[in-house]
Amino acid sequence: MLGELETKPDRVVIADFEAGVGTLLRANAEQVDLAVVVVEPYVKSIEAARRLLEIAGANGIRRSILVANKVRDEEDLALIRALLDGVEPDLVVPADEEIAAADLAGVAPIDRNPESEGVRAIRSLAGTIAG
Amino acid sequence: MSRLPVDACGRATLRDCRAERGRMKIAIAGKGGSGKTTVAGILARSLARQGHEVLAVDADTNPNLGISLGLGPDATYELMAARQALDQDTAEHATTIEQLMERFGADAPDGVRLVQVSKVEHPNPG
Amino acid sequence: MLALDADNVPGLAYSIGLEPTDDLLLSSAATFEEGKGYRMVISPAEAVERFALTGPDGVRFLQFGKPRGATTRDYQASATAFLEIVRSFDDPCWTVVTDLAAGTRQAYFGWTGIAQVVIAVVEPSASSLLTARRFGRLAAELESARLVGVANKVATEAQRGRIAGELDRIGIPYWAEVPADPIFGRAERQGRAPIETGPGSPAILALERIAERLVGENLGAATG
Repeated sequence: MLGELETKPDRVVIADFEAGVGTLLRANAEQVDLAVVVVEPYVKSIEAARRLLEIAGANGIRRSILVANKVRDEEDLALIRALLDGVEPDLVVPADEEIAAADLAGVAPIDRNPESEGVRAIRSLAGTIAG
Repeated sequence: MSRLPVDACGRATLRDCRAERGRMKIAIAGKGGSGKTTVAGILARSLARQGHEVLAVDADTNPNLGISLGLGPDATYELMAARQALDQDTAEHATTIEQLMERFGADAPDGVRLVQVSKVEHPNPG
Repeated sequence: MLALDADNVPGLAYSIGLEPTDDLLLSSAATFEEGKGYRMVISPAEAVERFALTGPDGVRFLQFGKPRGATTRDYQASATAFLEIVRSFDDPCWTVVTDLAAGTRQAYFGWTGIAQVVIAVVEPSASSLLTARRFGRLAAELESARLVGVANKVATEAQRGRIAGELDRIGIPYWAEVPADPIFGRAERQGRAPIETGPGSPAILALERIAERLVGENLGAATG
């Protein structure tokens, strides 16, 4: 369906894919301009991110971003870098109790506290993406 | 495949992509539990607050993006999937994507429009 | 004991204490026939015997093919064999645990197979509770399997109450609980099996008790 969406000036489409590689495997450059791969500082998550970045590249998606999420400290970042052959995340979202609380409660984190560290980090990404 | 730098002014952003193609399609991917839906929700609301028209597409068969956008769990649960509606649509005239968005999308805060596209309503475990 | 990872990204292997492999272990267990599609050429039992890895404590392990540099044919053959094993491997000498991919997709599409017990793992977050609500629809459709809920990452009485309330509303029993436990974060960061890094921790003890109950309570036999 992504490929069918009409091109409309100034429309930004954000597609939340199903967890894993299934959806991205079927995505190409016509359907996706930017792949945002979200990774946690866990081995399983990093392995999945490695595969997702590979698939995005192999499928011809022209740009991709790695977002390191729920990062507590430098050690967490070092783990991600080490297992991704030195790749530096494009954005680091610090572990944020406010986001965790919002998720528990079922409210949008940006409504609960737009100024919490993690939310500010993601908002900054929006600024860069949209230029 | 070019990586997108995020911390310097003047370096390539997706502005050039928008200039060429007139739109921007972003996919959020990751292992389950990584926080991708939370990131997608905050990103969508942030882009909308910057003045962009944002269409949030939940491509998960178990769609929870509505919660991260601020619709709440019940409204998210009640939304019918556009694809399912399309399958059920026996009208004589064709339905465009825009019309589907119109009929089956939901309004989230900051003017974000949400459409669930892959939701599976009825299990068939046999 | 046979452990099956039905996700197409590696996960269960680490939790067991195995290195994940990219080999499409089962690609030669099935072939493509014109007009018929993919078919297994050996029995599920034989496929397990020949292809399953052996992990700590003698656990045999099979993973859903990981699509990494594989031809479509190899991947499809492996996927066919894997799904057939999930759906039909019912040798009474074996205990089979299948880890399905996150969400409802596989449960809705036949991956619960010949399971006697289907465990819906629910954590206190709103999205997990919503997912549980969708699982409720599965209960009516499962012919022979018992659907039970296991609460995970429970840290407070309030969280327990929320999960219990949701499960009660949708008619799934609150069958067991695993407490929030930092052992998982530690093990996950290292990519190691939590049972090895923290054998006496509260969550591991809770899971061991769950394992005992699964065997002892014989849930599958309780279905009507």
